[in-house]
Amino acid sequence: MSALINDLMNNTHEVPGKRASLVLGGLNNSSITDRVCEIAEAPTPPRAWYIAFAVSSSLTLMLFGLVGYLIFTGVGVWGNNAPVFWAWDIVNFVFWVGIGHAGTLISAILFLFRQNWRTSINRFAEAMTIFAVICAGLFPTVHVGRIWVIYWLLPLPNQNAIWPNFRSPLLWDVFAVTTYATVSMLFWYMGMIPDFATFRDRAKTRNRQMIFGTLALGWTGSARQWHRYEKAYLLMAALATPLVISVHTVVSFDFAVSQVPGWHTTIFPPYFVAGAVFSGFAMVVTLMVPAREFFGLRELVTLRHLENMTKIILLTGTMVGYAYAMEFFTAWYSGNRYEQFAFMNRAFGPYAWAYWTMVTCNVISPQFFWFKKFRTTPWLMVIVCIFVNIGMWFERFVITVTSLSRDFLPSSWGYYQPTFVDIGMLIGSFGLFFTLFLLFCRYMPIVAISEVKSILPENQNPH
Amino acid sequence: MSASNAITEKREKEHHPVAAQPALSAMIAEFPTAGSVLAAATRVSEAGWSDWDVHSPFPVHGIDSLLRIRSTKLPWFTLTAGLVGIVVAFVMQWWMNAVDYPFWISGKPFFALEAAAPIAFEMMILFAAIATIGGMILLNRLPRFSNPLFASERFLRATSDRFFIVISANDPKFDHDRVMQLFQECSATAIETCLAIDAREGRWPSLVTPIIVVAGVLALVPPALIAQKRSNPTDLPRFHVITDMDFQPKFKPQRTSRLFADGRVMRPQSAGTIARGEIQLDSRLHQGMEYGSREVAAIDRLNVLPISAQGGPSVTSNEGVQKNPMPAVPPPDPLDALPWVKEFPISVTLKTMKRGQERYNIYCSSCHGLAGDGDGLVTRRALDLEQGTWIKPTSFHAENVRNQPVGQLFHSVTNGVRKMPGYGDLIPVEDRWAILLYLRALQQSRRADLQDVPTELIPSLQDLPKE
Repeated sequence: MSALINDLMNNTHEVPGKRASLVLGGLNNSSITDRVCEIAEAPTPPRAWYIAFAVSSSLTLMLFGLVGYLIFTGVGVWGNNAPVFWAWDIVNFVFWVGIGHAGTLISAILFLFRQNWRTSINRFAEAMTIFAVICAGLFPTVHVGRIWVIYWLLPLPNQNAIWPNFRSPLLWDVFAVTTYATVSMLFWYMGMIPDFATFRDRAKTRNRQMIFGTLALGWTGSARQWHRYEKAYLLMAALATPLVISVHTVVSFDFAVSQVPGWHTTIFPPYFVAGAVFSGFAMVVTLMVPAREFFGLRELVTLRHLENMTKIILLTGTMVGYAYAMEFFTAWYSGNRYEQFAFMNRAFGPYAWAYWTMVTCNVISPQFFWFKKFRTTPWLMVIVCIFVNIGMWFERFVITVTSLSRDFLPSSWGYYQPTFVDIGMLIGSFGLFFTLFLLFCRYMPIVAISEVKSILPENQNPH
Repeated sequence: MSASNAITEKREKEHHPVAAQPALSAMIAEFPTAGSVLAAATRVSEAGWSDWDVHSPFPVHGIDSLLRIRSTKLPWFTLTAGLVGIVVAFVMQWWMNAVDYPFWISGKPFFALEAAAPIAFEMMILFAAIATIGGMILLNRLPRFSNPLFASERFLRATSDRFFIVISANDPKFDHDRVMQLFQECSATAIETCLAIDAREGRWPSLVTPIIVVAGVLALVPPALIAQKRSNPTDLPRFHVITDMDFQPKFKPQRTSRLFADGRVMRPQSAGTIARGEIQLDSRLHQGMEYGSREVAAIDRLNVLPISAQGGPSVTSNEGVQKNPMPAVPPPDPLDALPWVKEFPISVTLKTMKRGQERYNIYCSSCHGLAGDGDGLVTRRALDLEQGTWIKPTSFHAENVRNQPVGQLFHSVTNGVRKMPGYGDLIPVEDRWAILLYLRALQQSRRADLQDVPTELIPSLQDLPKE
C-alpha cells in the first residue's frame, strides 16, 4: 500500500511524449484553494510550528540584544582587527544576499523561461528572498558604527552639505540592495494580490475581512484586471531578471574594484551570481522539505519540484567549482607574484581549514545529486543542502578574511578570530530569518494559489 | 438547470422586497469550469453586449479577444519610468559629485559614465518597477474597497473555484429578462442580480476616518518643526540628539590637569628629542659658526669665564677669531668674539643671487629699503608718524655692518638684533644665506670701481648720467 502511494506521489519518471503532472493527488480548483487557505485559517498551527517559533524567536531576541550591545558599545565588540576590517559582518551580508537570489530566479527567470513547475514554489522562494535581504541589510547597517548617521549613505541633503561619493562600489551596493529589496517586495506583494482576494472572500471574521480586504485592494479577478496583471507580471519578471544579476554583480564589485590580491579579479561577478543561486536553491530546499511535510503540501510541492531544484544546485555547484579552479589558473597565468601568493595562502596558509571546508561542501557535496536516489529522497537532499549552505558561508569567509589578513604590508598581517558577538549575531540572524519565515507560513498564502490553478491540465487550453 | 435558477431568483426576491429595491447594478451568471465560461463568453460576445466582464480565479486565456480588451498601455508606463530613472540617476550623480560638491577621489574624474552606470541601472529598474505595479493598480482602478458584486455570497467564489459572467446595468441593451434568457441559454449554474450599493454601505468602518485624520495631522508635525527651526536662526549651539564626538573626555590646550605632576595638560617635549628632518648638525650652515655653540660653551667652561645667555667669552678667550679686530668702539660686543664663518656655506651662483634678491625684496626691503639704506616704506612711515619707539634700521652700508663676518649677519637674520625679530622660523636656512649673498652684493655696489665691472659692460656705463 505504501509502495503504491509512494509511486503515486512520485512524478519524477520521464514518460516520452507526455508532460509530467505538477499537481498530484487529484487536486482541483476547489481543493487547491482549500489546501492552501486552511494553513492560514487553521485556529492553531502544527505543534512543530510552535517549537520552531519558540526557538527562532528566542534567537531573534538574542540578535536584537547583541545589536543593541554593539550600537551602545561600538563595533569593537566584534573580532574585526587592523588588517581584517571586513569580517563576519560582511561575510554574513554577502551570504544572506546570495540566499535571496534563488527567490528572484524562481519568480522571474523561470517565469521568462516558461517553467511551469515554478508556480508551486515561487511564493515561498520570494518570501525567502525578502527575509534573507532583511537579514543581509542588518549587517552593513550596524557595520557603519555610528548608525544614527546612516542616512549619509543616501543622497539626502544634510547639515554637512556633502553628497555621497558615487564613484565608490560601496555606494553602488547601497543602491543595488535597496532597489533589490524594494522591487522584490513589490513583486511579492503584486503576486499575492489575487491570493489575498481569495483569503478575503473566505474570511469568516471581521478582522480577517478588514486585513485581507485592504491587502487585496478590491481585486475581483475580472478579465480586464487579469489582462493588465499578467502584463505587469511579465514586465516585472523582465525587470527583476537583470536586477538579480546586477545585485550580486555589484556586491562582487565591493571586492573586485579594490586592489587587494585575491579580490581584484574580473571573474567575480559571474562567480558570485552562480554562487548566490547555488546557495539560494540549497536554502529553498532546506526550508521546503520540512514545510511541505508539516503543512500538507506534498501534492503541490512534489518530488519533481524538488528534483528540479537539485538539478539546478548540481549545475550551479559545478560552476562554482569551476570558478575555484579558474581562480588558481588566473593567478598562475597572470604571473603576478602577489596574486599567486594570495591563492597559495588561501589553500595552504593559516586559513587552509576554511578553504578545504569550502571546497568539500561546495564542490564535492553537490556531486551526490548525480544519483537519482539523492535527487528524490527529501531527507538526503536536506543533508546535502545544509552542507552547501555551510560551504557557501565559508566561501565568503575565505574570500573576505584570507585576502585581508595577508594584505600588502607584511608588518600588518594578522589573524582574525570571531568574538561571541560575531557568533551570536550569525546565529541570531538565522533566528530572525526563521521567525519571519514561520510567521509567513502561518499567516500568508504560502503557495501562489491562482498560479498553480492556471497550470492544471483541466484549466489549460479550455477551448 | 432552470429550476435552480428559479430558486435563486426567488431567494433574491425574498431578500430584497420589490418595493424597497434600489436600482439594478448588474446581473451575474456562474459557471463551473474555465471551458464552460469560455463557451458562454463566446455567446455573450456574439450577441453584441458591450459592458460586461468575466471573473475567474486565474487568467483564462482566450477571453481578452471576446471582451475586445485592447492591449494595455502599461508597457509605456514602464518604459517612460525606466528612462526617467536613467536620466535622474545620471543628472543626480553629475550634479552632486561634479557640480555642487566636487571632491577629488584618487584622481578620478568628477563624473564618468562608467562609474555612474551601476546606479543609473539600479534606478532605472527601481523607477520602472514602481511604475509597472503602480500603473497596473491604477489602470485597474484599484484600490476599490466597495463593489456591488461583493454583496453576492456566490460571487465570492470567483477567487476560488467558480467562473462568472457579469453584465452591467449600464449596458445600453440591458434588460433584466433578456439577460436572464441569455444566461439560461448559456447553461449558467446560477444567475443572480446585483443591486447598486447604498451610499452608506460603501463607507469605511467608523474608526478608519479618525485614524487617518490623526495620522495625517501627526505626519505634519515633523515637517512643521523643521520649517519652524529653519526659519528661526539662533546663535545657540546646535542641538545634538547624539553627542557623537563633539563632547568627549579629553584635555584641551592651556588647561590644567592633576594627572601630571606639573599640572600642565600640554606636555613638553622629552629631553633630547629632535623632530624628523630638524636635526642641525652643520654648524656652519645652521648657526653661521665654524663650530657650534656647544663647543663654544665647553671652551668657555675651561676658561672659567662668565657666559651670558646671548653672549660669548671675552675677546681674549679665542685667539682664532681675533684676526678681524673691531675699531675702538667701547664696550666690545661679546658676539663679535664668536667664531663666525667668513665664507658662504652654500654655493655662490647667479641663481642663488637672484633667489636672494627676490627673498630680500619680500622680507627685508619693507624696513631696510630696496638698496639697504634703512629707508624702507615702513621705516619712512613710522618716522613720519614720529613713532617714538621706532628704531631706524642700521644702513647696510655702514662701516661696522660692512665689516661684520657673514656668519654674524646670518645670526642677526636668524635670531634678530635689537628691535628686529628673528626670521629663522619664517625663512628657510638656504634662503637666509641667499639673502645675505644679495646683501653682500648691495654693499659691494657702493664701493665698486671700474675694475669690478665686466669689460663688455663698460661701454654701457658711459651712457649713465654722472652724479
